[in-house]
Amino acid sequence: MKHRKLFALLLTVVLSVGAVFTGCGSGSGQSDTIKVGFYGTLAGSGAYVDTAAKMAIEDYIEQINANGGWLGKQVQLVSYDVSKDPATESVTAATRLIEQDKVIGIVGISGTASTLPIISLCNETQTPCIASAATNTKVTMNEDTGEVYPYLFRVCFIDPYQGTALADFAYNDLDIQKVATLTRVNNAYAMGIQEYFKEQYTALGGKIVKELGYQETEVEFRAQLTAAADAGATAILVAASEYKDAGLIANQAADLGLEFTFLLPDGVYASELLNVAGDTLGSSYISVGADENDPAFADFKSSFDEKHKDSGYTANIYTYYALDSFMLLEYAVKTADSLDGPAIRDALENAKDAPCFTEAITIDPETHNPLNKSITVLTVKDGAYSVYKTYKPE
Amino acid sequence: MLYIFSIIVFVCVHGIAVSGLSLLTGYTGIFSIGHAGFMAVGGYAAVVLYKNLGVPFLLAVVLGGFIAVIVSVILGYPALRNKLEGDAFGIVMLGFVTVVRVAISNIKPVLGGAIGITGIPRLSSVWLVILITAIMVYCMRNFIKSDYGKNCMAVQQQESAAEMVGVNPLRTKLRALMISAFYGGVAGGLFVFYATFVSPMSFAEAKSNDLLAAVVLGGMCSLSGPLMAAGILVILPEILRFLAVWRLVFYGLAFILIMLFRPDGLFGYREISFKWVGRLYHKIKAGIGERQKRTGRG
Repeated sequence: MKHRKLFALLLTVVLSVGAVFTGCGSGSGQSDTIKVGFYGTLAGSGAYVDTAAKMAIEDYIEQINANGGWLGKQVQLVSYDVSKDPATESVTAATRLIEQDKVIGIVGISGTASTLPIISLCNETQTPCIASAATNTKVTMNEDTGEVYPYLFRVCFIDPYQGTALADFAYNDLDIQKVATLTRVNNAYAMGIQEYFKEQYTALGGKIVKELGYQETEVEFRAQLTAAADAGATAILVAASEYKDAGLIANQAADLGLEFTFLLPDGVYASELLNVAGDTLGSSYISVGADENDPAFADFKSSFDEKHKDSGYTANIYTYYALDSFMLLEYAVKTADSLDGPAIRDALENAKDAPCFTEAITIDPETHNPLNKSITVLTVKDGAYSVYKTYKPE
Repeated sequence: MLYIFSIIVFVCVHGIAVSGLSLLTGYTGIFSIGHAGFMAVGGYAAVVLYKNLGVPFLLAVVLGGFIAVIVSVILGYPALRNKLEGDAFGIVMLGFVTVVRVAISNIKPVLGGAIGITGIPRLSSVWLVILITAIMVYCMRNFIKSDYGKNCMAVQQQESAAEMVGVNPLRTKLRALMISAFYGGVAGGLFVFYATFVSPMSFAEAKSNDLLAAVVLGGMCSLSGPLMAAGILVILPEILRFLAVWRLVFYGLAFILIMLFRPDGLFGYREISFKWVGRLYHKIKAGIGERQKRTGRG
């Protein structure tokens, strides 16, 4: 009986405290603050991407507010975690941001899978959404009609762009003839990279000798690596979306004494990868939108890493992309001189050389993708990333 | 209201799936760790029927449910005939959800592979979903109260004894599996037409776990308990948002607390009953009558 009472009491306390906080959202639509929405994986093994991004945007907002804010108003970031179940939670999180928090736009979404569920919501409520690293073509375009979604934008390059560039690079620059692919199946990003790589690589005359896959929970890749070696592959395209997969794959290849050239997409690009597999990634190439250690970002990175030392998070490439998306919104708000959804949307669509973090961004009105994003190919040398080359694909 | 509506829709969708699972796991005693697999089958089937074959929305959702039933028979008949019980069947279902997810991930035309299908119209309106949920839960309640439902409980509690008195365990179990698959399929269809997007990750293990957790947390031999738990499992993560990154820690903690203090689940073997309202009414009425009598006498 005593237990039951205690249980009932606990449940009541938790629920009522929660209800009070839930209610807060709707009441705080003060007109002297501009709210910007953000959601992502802020807990769990994938949190290194979105948590650092959120911190960086918040830091940047501090600066903005110190300089008078936007249109004379203070800016605030409202962020929610969707790590439990992105497909469902991104809908509830985005709805809450738009309806209760009354955000003027949503920025910094890093995944295709968590952007796709909110497309119709953003269009219906006329809320601009700028994805920072959602690379799939379907994020901004309706595949059935070929029309661009009016309120969806992105600042990163798309899967075909990167997959194709990696294939070009492997075939032309590295002169690799036989490639095996190892793809994280049921991951939209990884499957996209693999698909476009394969298309371009075979078109160039290269041969995909083996197409292998793995599940998100797998940590054992020796079977796939042996199969790739048996098929005569000299290089492996590791279409992974988290650095831990690529790290394990490289380590296990080294254990088996297999020497592959690893071709990696930007999804695995993190300094943590070097901690996991710095020695074993000997001859690998990573295509990225920007070099994390580019001297141009050095000041920012060192001050960020210093400021957030205790959190354990460091600035990574996604942090830069997230800032790009936020700064593009800033540009649009200032250009439109309005907080109105359609006005911001128009400004975004016509953004030309908008000053963003990594580079000036021009949005293609036809696709809502950035035009002429440069690609940097990195290689691992002495346990550190170094730039192999940077170019703008035609 | 959009936010509240979205939560209501997800509560209802989970409620439908959980009431199906509660028949299978709670009343019939067959563990299913991969029930979201049926949601995936139903959801995808409904979208393909609607988008590619032009079947009207509601019919597509119902047909999606039936396709889930067909899949459940293909899966369940051999498994149940071989007397796979409890944990063993649970593992079969675990395999099933993985097969469904990976198979869908690999089918690029029509199903869209890992990326899924976008551009689905939002046809599951909140009122419609509430109505369908009410109808389906009502039907489930009647089924459980019927002789068929009692057969399920008999099989769960003493299979041999049930067989002795003439209950066919295979048929009973298969029936429970088919019905729960139908509920899962319809729930998947409604979910997809609300989320406007479907991918294999929409029905990841987390969803199966939530469904099973709802049945266990709610009470294994109860329908209203799991329904309430399904609601809590959707609402709780939203309510706990104020805890930011600690949210899921407390979410998990709630599981532990419930199981610790209520080992039989929130409702155990009971149902939510509104009989107390009647009793209260009679009590009040009697009280008033007595007072009137007393004042009359005075």
